[in-house]
Amino acid sequence: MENKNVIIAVLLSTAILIGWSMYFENPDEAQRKRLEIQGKTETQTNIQKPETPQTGKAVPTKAISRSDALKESDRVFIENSNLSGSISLRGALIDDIILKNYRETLDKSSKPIVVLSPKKSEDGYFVESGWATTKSDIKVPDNNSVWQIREGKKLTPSSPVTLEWNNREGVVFSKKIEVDDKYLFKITETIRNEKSKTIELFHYSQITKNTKPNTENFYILHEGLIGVVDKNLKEETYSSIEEEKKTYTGKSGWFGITDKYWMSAIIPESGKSFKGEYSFANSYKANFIISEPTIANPQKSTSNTLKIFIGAKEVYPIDNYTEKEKIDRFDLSIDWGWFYFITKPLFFVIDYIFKIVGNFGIAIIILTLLVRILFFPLNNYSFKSMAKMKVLQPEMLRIKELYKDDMKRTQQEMMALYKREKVNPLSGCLPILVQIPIFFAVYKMLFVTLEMRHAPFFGWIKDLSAADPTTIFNLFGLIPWNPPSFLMIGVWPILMGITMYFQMKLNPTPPDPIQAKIFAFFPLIMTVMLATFPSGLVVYWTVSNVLTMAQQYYIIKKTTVKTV
Amino acid sequence: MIKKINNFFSFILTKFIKIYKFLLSPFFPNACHYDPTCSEYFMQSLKEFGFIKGCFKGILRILRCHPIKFLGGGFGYDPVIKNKNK
Repeated sequence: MENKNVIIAVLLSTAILIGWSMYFENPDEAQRKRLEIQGKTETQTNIQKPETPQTGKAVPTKAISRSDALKESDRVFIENSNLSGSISLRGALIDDIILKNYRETLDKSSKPIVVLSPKKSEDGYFVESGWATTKSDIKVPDNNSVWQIREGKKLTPSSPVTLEWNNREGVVFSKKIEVDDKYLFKITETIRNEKSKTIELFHYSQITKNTKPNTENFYILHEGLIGVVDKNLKEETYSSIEEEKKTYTGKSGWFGITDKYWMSAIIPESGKSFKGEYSFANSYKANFIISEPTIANPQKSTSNTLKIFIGAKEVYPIDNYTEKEKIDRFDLSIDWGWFYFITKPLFFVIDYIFKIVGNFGIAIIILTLLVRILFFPLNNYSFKSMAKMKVLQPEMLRIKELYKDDMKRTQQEMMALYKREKVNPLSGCLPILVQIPIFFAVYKMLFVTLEMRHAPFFGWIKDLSAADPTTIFNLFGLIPWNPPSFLMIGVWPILMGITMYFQMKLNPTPPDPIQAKIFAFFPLIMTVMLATFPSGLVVYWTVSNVLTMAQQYYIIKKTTVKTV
Repeated sequence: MIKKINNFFSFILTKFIKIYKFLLSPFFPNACHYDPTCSEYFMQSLKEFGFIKGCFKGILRILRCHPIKFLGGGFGYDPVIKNKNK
């Protein structure tokens, strides 16, 4: 009894916690307030040490619009078949990147997705790279240095651009910027030393993001700072970085800031050890600095390379970069989770189906069906043996009672009973436990896939990655009223609840009354919870329920056990 | 001290198994081949043998709970043998 109380207490408190955070606490507002306070108390330090390549000296006092910010400096334009944007000649920052092929909303004429924005704009988000000094005896370019174009006009896959900045003290800095046809930039940074003494500089790169985006805030998906250091994934949320900065040292890897679908990442030259850092001081920063100095002898030049990824986390390009560009474990940027060895193959299956049928919703249904068929033999047998065992229950109890004190005898008698009744249960706990991660993997895969974004299904479902837009509280659109978001319980979640209710009806009612009560409420709780989830997941869940039900019904009908 | 930590882990794991039995396992068909069931067996062996050995025995039991005979699958009455050293 005590245990049941504990369980109920846990359930109730979880429900209250979820409910509270859903309806009462607006995380963005709380966040903004916190930011304001921090912005006031934080004193900006700018140390010219290689440990802290902080070039962003002052944070703009007043944010201006994106288009005004873009006009503030001369620009080199970037264009390939997936990206368009520009590089600011002031500071040589990549601070304007738009994903041409993805739109903000379902409307085809809506704005394309903006990834990077100039630092003076409200949602400033940009990538820089450059050099840091230890002794500050060499003037290095900073965020306000105005660069000159030496070569090229517009950055395209076929025409790289070279920028140059002369410090007027005998050192010339240049950047050769290349882009591929997807999302990868390569920057070769050269120092030309025209002085008579050797100079040592440390190469660094940094991503800065002024504001925290509206995160999905869902525990199965990582959004925030991400990176790999010596094959280990390093993920930190925005809020954990606000509290404490994180530093890493390693020999291979990358650092970045990721959204659910979009990411920017910086990748140090391979084979060089580096120190990476996630930090927060008015803006979120992910950076690295190469530990060994780059040495330029008198009258010589030397260079360092860097790769920058800015774009959509599409599975195939990311895998391609991991292999061909040898970016260490870059595939981890897509959050496949613990069961990635199941999740990822599942993706390739659903992608294959999607390419054949052309509708992601149907692809989900076919995949669910396939998984069910795969496990059908197992479940079939287990249902069968379950039915048989149920019939034999009294006999078993009798044997147990009869030979209470003789364990060996009980065992022998039981075995004899099984043999006589030809009970050969064919599933078992192991196959059941193996299935759990697979169903979780299907769920996770659907949650992370970019393909589901803006993918239509039938009727009112125009975007499988968004919640069902209908709601029962205005009779699915019959009453001209827009209920608050927590009352948005659509058709599919309700279907899910109903199918779940009937599916559970087919199972024997749990013997314990409290347990039975909890189970009676389960479909309702799940309906309300799933109402806010991507509709693709709700479709998956509903179909899955129907299939389980059909299977169970079929077996119950088929299995007739003869009693002795 | 070690015994205390051991007991603590056993306690936590037992709770988890109970939650599983209570909330998750009703969703699956009764599949266990054995009597007592794998989860009961697991909890009993935790009690009987402590955390490490108990876990080991419990996991072995789950690994035995499948239909393929030549891979060690079995069924029937299979209680936890009481620990004689206790």
